[in-house]
Amino acid sequence: MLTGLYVPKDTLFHRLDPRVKLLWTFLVLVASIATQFNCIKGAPVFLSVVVALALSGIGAGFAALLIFNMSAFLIAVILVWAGMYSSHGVPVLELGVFRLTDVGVSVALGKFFLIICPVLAFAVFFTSTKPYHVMWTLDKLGLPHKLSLAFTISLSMLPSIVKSTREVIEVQKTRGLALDRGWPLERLRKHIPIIVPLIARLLSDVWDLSMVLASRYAGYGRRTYVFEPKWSRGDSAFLLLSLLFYGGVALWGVFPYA
Amino acid sequence: MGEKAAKTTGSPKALYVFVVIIGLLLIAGLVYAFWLALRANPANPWESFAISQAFLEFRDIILFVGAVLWLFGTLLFALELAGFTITKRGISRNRMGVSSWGVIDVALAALSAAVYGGLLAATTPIVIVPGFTWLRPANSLAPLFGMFFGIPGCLGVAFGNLIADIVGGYFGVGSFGGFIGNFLIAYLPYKMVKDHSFASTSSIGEFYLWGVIVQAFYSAIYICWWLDVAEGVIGLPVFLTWGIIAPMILLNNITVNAVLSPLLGRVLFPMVKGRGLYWRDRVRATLS
Amino acid sequence: MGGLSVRLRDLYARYSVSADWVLKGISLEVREGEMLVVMGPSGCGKSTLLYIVAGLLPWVIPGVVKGEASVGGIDVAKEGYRGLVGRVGIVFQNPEMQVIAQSVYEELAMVPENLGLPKNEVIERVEWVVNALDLGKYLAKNPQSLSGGEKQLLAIASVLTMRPKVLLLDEPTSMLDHRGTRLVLDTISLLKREYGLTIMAAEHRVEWAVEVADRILVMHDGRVMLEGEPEELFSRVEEVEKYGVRPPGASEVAYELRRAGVKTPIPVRLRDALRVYGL
Repeated sequence: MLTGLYVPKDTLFHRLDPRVKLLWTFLVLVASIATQFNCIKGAPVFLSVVVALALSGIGAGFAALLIFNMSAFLIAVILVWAGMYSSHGVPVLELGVFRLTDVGVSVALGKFFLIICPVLAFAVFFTSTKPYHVMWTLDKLGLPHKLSLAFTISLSMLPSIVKSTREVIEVQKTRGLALDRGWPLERLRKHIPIIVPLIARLLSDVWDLSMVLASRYAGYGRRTYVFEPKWSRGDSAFLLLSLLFYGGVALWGVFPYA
Repeated sequence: MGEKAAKTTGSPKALYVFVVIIGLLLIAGLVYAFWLALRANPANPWESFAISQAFLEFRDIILFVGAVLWLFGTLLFALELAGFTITKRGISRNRMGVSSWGVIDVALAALSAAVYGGLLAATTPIVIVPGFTWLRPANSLAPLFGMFFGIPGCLGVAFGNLIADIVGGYFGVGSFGGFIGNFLIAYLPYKMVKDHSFASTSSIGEFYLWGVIVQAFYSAIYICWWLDVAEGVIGLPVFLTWGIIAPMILLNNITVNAVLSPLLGRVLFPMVKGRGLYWRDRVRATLS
Repeated sequence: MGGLSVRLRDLYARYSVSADWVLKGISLEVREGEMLVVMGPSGCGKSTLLYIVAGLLPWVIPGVVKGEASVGGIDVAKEGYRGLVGRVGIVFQNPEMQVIAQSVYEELAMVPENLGLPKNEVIERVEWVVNALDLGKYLAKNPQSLSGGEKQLLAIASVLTMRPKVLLLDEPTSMLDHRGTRLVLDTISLLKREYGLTIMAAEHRVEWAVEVADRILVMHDGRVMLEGEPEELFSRVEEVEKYGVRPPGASEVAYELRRAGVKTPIPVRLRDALRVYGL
């Protein structure tokens, strides 16, 4: 679990125009869709996203962490897809009623890539894009500024809220609250002394934040962005390479004999 | 205003008690059915779970109903954000649309999102059956934020869920359904429950109807309809969507909102009102 | 000091959630370049007074305001905070809530960016405030990692990029430690001395107030009870204490000496006390 979203670094992905990163994410999605029934064709897309994670300074370890977080879910997906294609292709493993075929494995891994690649690509986008530029991107996409402002503020406040929540949990634990003991419904009820102080804080913070936003003239009118990203040659080159690579992979995936 | 409105409707107390009993029976039924499934098939209880079987059995009908609910829900979302709402007299303008938002609305949406997302991220789910199903206490806040803060609260819940997806590494095409689905979880009790105080039988009865039962079914169908229709883009098999995810949403939303939300609502409503942040009071202050 | 900057006449105010008036018939005037420190116990209406001058009540915080309130001739109650662009800036108590951006530069650029000023002007304003308050050393830092005092300094700087004529300070040091308090108070003193800003501050640190204030106002239960220059006001030790304000240490000592029969004037500042007692 990340404690925040944006990781300040100076990498290729941090320097890219946010629009290019979004387009790249879209291309990853398209290529993943086109190769979802064949893991060999989907593998280059997966590898490219892992490389992107490394290039964004987040590292392949982060990809492994995300995959680990989703492991139970992903195993279920893989098993279900493999099971659905168990009557196609050559069996590679048979354990009682469980039958694994080469087609089943290929589809299951292809679907795994389809799920995980866009997730990782979005992770690259959010970890390499400052909230300031996320707001700029949302404004550019035509979202009302008040909404992009609210979203960006909530992204910025998230780490402090997570920290406060953990502090409240620790304080209540020292007072004898055992969240991990009892029946599920009892354990649900035990969250009341954690949630109430957090909401009490929220209620006072709302007024403070409202007055700060008003005194800073947030949402006053058309906003200037001093750090407005500029589309560079590097951005165009990256997009062109991505288009060629993912376009090629997508064509390969769509045309079975390509 | 809410309390008064509830009295004027003259709804019989017995009906509300009946709804609460139905809600609690629903939890008991769901838990019992899941327990039976777990006994019958410990390796994969979802395969034997009656709710999963029902979703899969009637998938064609649910897909049709889901399409209607999806269109209606998405339309509601767009209408409310644009500053319109559906009333008995048709579609009318209200003062809750984004263009009419002041700094308080921005702050409410931002902080609701940060608290909802932060709580989802910072609290451990309560595991019922390891690897199979769990309860998320943070979900109890979704209907409360809608009922207390109005449209900014509903949007805060949607943003909060999105943020939890991003930090948890689940953000993808499926999150679009989750975004509006979570908006609706907050919106339905905001719009349909007349008395938001949790201090009367009618308030709790109406909440059980809209904030527990209807909301849980609506959000489960809304989110899973999107996952099913966009299967080719998202990659989730139908069995997983309707056999596991839909019953899990149902089980979680009904249980958490039936048990935790009314208790929290009873404590928090006076605090919200006392701080001048209850949406009806704010609208009334603006009008005066 | 120049012409009239802030003028309040028979001002009444209450919040939507409060049953009674929080301000009860306040009348006061602040001249251009003057520094007025408002003192009084918690709940006496200090913050409410500043919220009205900043155009926040009833425009952001729902409530009722009656009477006359104007800043530089602008009717605040009518125009609200949006009508006060470039005239009034306000800094609040809580430093945590006032720093929103993820870099110091972004935080400083926020106000001129929100006002939609041209890029070169935004940059010029940020550079001006960085030089004026010597903020260069913070530019590379993540604002969330700054101390409370540094965050408050950043909040003041952020407001100054609006180029306000009137600066309102709502107990800016109440949540800070000693070091943070020193940093903020020194900055405010600098702003008054070097830039001649009109300042209205709600502040409870009396030793600082008597050093920098041109005039001090003592409020109690929504009313102005005492008003005057620091020397004159704090010579009335008993009266000041009656309204819940602690006089400066120098005044307290002199007052106790007087009660013990020693004939002594009542100094308000430490340096005056040292002079009086020939130390």
